[in-house]
Amino acid sequence: MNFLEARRLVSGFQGGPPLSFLFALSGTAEPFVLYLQAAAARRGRAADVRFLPFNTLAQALRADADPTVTEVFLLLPWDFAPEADWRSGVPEAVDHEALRSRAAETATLFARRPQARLLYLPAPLPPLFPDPARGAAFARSLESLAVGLGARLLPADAFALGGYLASGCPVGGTWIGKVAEAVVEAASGAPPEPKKVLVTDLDNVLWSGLIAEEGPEGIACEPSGPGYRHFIYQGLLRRLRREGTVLAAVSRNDPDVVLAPFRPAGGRMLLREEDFVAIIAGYHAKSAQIRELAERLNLGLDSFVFVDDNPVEVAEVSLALPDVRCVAFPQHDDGLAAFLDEVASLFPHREITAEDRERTALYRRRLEGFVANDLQGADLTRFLQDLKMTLTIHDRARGDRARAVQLINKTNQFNLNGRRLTDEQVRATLDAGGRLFGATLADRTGDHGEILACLVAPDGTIESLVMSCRVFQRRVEYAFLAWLVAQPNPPTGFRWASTARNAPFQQFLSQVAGPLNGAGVVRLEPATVAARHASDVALFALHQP
Amino acid sequence: MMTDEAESKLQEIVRATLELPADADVTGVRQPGVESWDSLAHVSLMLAIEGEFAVAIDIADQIQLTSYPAIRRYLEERGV
Repeated sequence: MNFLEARRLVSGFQGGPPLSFLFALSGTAEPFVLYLQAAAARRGRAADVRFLPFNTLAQALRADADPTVTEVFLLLPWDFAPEADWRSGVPEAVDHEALRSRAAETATLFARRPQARLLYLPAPLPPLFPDPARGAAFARSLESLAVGLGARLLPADAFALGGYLASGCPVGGTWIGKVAEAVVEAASGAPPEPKKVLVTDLDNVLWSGLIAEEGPEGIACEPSGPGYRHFIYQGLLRRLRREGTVLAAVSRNDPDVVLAPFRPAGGRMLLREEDFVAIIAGYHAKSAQIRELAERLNLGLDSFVFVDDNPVEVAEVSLALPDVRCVAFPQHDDGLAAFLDEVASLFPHREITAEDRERTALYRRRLEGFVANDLQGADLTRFLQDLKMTLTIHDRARGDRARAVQLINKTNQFNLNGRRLTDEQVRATLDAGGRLFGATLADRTGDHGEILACLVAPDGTIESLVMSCRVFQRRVEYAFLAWLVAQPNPPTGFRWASTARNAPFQQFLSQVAGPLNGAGVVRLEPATVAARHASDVALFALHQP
Repeated sequence: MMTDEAESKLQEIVRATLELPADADVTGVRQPGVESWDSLAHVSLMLAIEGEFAVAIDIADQIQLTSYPAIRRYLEERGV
């Protein structure tokens, strides 16, 4: 959660029960205010936060705790060993035993506040000792003290020395939102019940790449290159499954396509098909699949965690199933450690029983015959509006058309007919009076590049229409078509053909042109399409350079 | 060259952290001329920029970044 996202959350918050707590740290706490309010708003709570005056944590600790006040401490190494505070510089000399003794005494003071919720940020220490190894051991001993008190460890990267020296705020801008989330989670009450089911997306989550577009050989999940993050994620899932977590997968794909990498012949995955109670592939709402899964397993939705890399999918499940904990798979390596920490912390297991190890097999039997259903998911209109999407439509009949031709030749799922066209064939169509359009998409999650191509024959038949599956569910295809039919000489039909992979296009075509009867030209009624999908066009800022 | 999107984000951050009106032109704001640009607002501004543009701003730079043009130039030099 960054600043602008936090602002949006707070400004859009309609109010809720107060979440009152004391946020105690030895540095400057005020910069956390917005992020704490946003993290609380995300839980439907109105944050009512009190801070300690700057650098008074040590005194506060010596006072008796007020049993009516929820205390959340964000602890740093120098809360146990003041000589290690960077703001004091490097001490000329330290007494190791005195340091250890004072740290133990501080730990005793925390132990007298059993209701306090502790977070520990293992910031690096300045060089305190002549022997660096002793410094490292001391840092580790402080961490052990904190963990022994029940503190939740935060990633050391969250500490920002520059900001701490400049203002006393120990957490940098790239981490403050995540740390605020941890603080609010700690303040929200007793540790939540461990989750039971982890539902994961597949493409660009369990593996790198899009299996329907790139095939089983094109995906990566090995401990090298682009697959490394996904290999590590699979390792965590394998461990969780062994500890009794129930794994399931949902994917916008065809069932036979997504199962291929799990089969032993593939041999590249840490996880096997039998590690999952269900691998659900289809093109309908993921929330509907998860709801059905919960009913079949007879488990509450509040015991589910959903992991996906696509913010639209995350939003759809969040809106339709607010009890499901949704976690976004990180777009970059920098976010991996915090992501894995978050997922692992949702499934704590203090001991593992034989029943835990058998749970997957038990639930697999319960789910025999489970197939994807076609129920509708959440209405994403508001979320899509908030994405601030910009669709830029380019006339590719002139100038560079390489990306448009590439899209036509590599897209499988959202593909009108699966026909591959050489650049010469496209040029011949254009020379005869045809039209070629490309579309690029950007939104507040980033720039998605050129994601759509459409070739219209001189007679007005759409010969090719393809779109990257990365932008499914954003209504791009509907908005583009509604725009296209509003242009001079609108298209009159689609040259449709079913392929083994283009079920998503079939779904789209059924909605814009009615029921399909075999292959051939499917008629298009421009006025109907324009009227029916005007609301989709309104989701975008449309540009034509 | 900073993209329009990045510039728009930066302006939104500056307006929000300095509590300026939504339609305020912030492209020329400087710390001495804006009453709300106190030390706490400056910390919030630096944190917001770090988070939004994935940069870590050194203490020496934080002290220098006291105007919109300086912040914009700093970010451009870091490839934003």
